[in-house]
Amino acid sequence: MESGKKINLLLEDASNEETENSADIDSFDRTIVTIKFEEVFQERGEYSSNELAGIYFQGTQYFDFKNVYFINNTGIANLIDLIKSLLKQGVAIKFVNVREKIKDKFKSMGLEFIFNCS
Amino acid sequence: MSPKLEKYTFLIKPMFFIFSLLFASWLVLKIEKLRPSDFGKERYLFEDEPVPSIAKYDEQYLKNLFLEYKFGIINSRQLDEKLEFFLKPIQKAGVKKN
Amino acid sequence: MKQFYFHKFEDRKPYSAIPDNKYRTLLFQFTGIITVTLGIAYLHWRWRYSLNTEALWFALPLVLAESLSFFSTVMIVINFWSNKDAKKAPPVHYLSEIEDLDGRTERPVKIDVFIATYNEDVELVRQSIQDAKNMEYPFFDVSIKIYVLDDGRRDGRDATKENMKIVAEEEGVEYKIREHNEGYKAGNLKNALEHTKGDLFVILDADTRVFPNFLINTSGYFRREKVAWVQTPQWFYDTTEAQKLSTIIISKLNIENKHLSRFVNIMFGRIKMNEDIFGNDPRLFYDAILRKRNFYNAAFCCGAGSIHRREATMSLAIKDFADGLKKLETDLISKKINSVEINDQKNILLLKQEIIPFKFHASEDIYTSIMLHADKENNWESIQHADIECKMLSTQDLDSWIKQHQRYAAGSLDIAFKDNPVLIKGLSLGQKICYFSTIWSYFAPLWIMVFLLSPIVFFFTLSLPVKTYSFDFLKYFLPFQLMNTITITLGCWGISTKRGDQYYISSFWFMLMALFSVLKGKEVKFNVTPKGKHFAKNTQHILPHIIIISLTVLGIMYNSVLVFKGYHPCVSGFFTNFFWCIFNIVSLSIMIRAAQWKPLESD
Repeated sequence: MESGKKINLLLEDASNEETENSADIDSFDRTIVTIKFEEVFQERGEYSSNELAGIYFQGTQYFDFKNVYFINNTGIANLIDLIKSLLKQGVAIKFVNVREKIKDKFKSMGLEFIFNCS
Repeated sequence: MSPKLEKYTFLIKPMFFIFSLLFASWLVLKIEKLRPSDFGKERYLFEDEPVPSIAKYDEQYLKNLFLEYKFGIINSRQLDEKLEFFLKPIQKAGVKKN
Repeated sequence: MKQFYFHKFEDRKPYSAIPDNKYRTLLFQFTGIITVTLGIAYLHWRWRYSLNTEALWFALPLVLAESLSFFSTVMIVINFWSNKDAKKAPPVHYLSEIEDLDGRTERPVKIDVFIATYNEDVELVRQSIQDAKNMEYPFFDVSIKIYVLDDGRRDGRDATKENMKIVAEEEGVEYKIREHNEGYKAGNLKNALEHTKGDLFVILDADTRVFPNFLINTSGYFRREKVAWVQTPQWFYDTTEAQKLSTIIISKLNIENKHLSRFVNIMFGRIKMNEDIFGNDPRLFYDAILRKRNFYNAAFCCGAGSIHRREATMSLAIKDFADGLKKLETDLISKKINSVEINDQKNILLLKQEIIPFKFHASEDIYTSIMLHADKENNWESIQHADIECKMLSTQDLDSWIKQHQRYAAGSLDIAFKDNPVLIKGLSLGQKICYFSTIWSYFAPLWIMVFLLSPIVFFFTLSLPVKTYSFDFLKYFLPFQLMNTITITLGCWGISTKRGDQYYISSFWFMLMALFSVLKGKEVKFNVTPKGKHFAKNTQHILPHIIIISLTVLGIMYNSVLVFKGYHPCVSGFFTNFFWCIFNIVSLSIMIRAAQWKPLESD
């Protein structure tokens, strides 16, 4: 189902005070795993998790955007908050396998230099 | 409205605006030409009446002029000047008529 | 239940929106064109032929004031040019009805209702919450969540304050606070948007009480994918009632004698005064000015009583965020800093920069509206809904009224000086004119001041600003004024403009102060408008009015003596100025009456 592949990226509670104010590794880990694909994943039942997996390697957090087909402005705002909260802790962020359509959206918003995409 | 005319309906609005503009311009021109006398007998409602000119078609005026000359109140040069002043509008009117 | 003064107004019914009439619109356009043409002819005559060269110090300011005032007239004609009410649509159910799913799974829409509060009586807020809870919606699966956004942090931590959190809990609604007040109301909304997920959100003030059909009547507009927000008219249901003149006299003079009271009643009982003494009724603004801006897609948001598309608000926030960063980066490059350093600095800037959905500004609503309208990539649309869907409280004393209106003025003027809509790229010509028209109206005290002082100057110097008040003066001036009155009447058809006109003139002093404070570069503060009655001493506010009226009356008396004795050099000038003064005094006196106003015991 083509439509089922497109997902609405919304980050839940990434900017809550607990995460923002905390610098210890536990809360840091929680920050990473709280990227949630709301609703769509749950309803499709196609994936076991409703979270986007991130891999931490040599000071950079990598997120695989292979399955991300759609992102709205609230989702972008949440990603920015995520980048900022990781940056505070000295962690860089990189999005891999980002689709052209999403890259175009970042570009149209003038955000191409904030989102490190490939 | 017939289908033939319907395609010209877009012209109604511009024509209406042009008409409004023309009407407004005409109104301004009309207002510009308004004079107090247009409202009735009162020629000078707000301003003082100008001093009446002595050059009128008035026999009395000419009689007085000649009497003044006869009795030496004015000399020939003054008589000539006053006659000139008196005749000027009449001459002008004559030229226009011709 | 706690009793408030406004409970006796609960049964008041809102006005109905003026029905649109295309023939009236055409007639307005016709008279509008004539008014503007006659105005140009009048000013042409004024500048070219009428100036009294012997008193240019007087003649020039007056003719300049007249020209600036005429410019306002032109903008009013443009603003009122046409009406284009948006087509109503049934309430939305599913997400796909308001935006392209783009492959996402269908779901019912989510609606959030934000009630912003700061220091208002918690029982007053409770009523707003209860009315919000009573909103009806035809689809049970559409989530409607109500949030109390308390910037006063009344969560029980301070025992001296009322507990807003408990009220929210009792009413079963969400309660949100933040630990600072940055950005005032805009900051409060930002915080709410960060913690909520509604596709649409409603903004209400603490005293905004929505009617049950609010969502049913407004959410349908969002079927048009470009609609960013819908503003409904703000209706103040507690404006002061008309008082019998006889009651006022009896009360002020403390008349206790029965026969005398009856006599006063017979004499003055039919005359009514002081209806909406503070000129709070905003009908002219919502039902005429803002509604007609639908034609240019230039109706701006006024905060309370509006419903927004989250995506539109967020798109602006992100765009601003990116633009801010780019600007900072360009600054760094211009300083010839090397790329490694730029990267480091960029990260610092990134951390500093915030995503701000509503501009942090005292006039956040209009500012955000300008920016959304200017977004050419998205071409956002706004809608001024014609019918009243909520009610709220008005200012009940002059001091609060002045503070509120000075904030509006200073906020708009601040935008004009910092981010003038005329210069903003992306706005259409109509939008630029409409926004500029709003800002321009706050410059009005400059020429109102001249109009108020001119007769006084004439009375005491006996100098004329025109060569003479001749027939020519009247033949140009009267048709223009007559057509102007007809045009405004048609534009505001069905709406009384009496109070509005009086306040336009009599608020000159406060608006002038607001203008000066902005020119001095003072920060515009967000004053929360007090809800309730505060009968402060207002005499200092009306001192300029008293001085002008006194000087005018003295001038009339002095000139009357001169006319009577036959010494007056220009009798026609005296009579013209005399009638002008009557208008000035009537307009100024409303502020004095408002300052003295308090409810009669019989009320």
